[in-house]
Amino acid sequence: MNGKSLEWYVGFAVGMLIVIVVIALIRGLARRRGETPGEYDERQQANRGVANQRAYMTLLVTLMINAVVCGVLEQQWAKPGVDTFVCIFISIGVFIVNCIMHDAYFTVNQAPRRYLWIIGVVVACQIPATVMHAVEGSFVEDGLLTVHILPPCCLILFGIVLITLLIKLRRDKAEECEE
Amino acid sequence: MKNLKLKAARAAKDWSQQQLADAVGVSRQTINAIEKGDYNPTIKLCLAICRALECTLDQLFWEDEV
Repeated sequence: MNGKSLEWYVGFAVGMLIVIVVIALIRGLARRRGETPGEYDERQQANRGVANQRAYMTLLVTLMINAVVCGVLEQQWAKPGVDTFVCIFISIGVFIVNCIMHDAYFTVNQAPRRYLWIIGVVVACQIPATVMHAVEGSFVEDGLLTVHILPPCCLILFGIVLITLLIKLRRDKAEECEE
Repeated sequence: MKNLKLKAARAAKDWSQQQLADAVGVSRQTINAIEKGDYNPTIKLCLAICRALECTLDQLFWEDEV
């Protein structure tokens, strides 16, 4: 199966299923409480546009650097596909952090505090896989980063998101007190 | 430039930023940004704020010449 084990595909499918079930549960709960996801206001839309631009530029720059390192300098540092995923993770991180810091990640009706635990769960879910692969020593194979580097990447990404959200909530609270 | 007129009009109604934000359908941070002068709202949002605070555009958004 293209070099991948059956367990890999089952794991991937189960992971996707869990994501779908969790999203459905959150939406169902919000609907039952009569909450609608709402929309972004005009300032949030403008800020999301800026965040999109920054993330896009980050993706371009990281992909270009990767192309120069791998293609011109012929210094492979990761297995095919893994390098691209790392670049995507970095640009997603740039987008989310920008949006959170400019109040444009959550819609007007969404309470950021409620999403803290969801992000916390995502971070926690990455810990077992990261520890397991670290113990196995499977992050690097033949001097190249393998696909097993993605759980720690995800851990770092969502860890940064969690910290950013906590900082932002603290700032907002101080701002409300000043008001 | 800070929009003190907006802040004063909101305070006159004894509304918090959140209450005004809910009334016009934007986030509290957007109201805060307008009051601090960090964001220039569109005419649509200016009108919504004026209606909510029962003021005119001139009263809230016209800058007096210095």
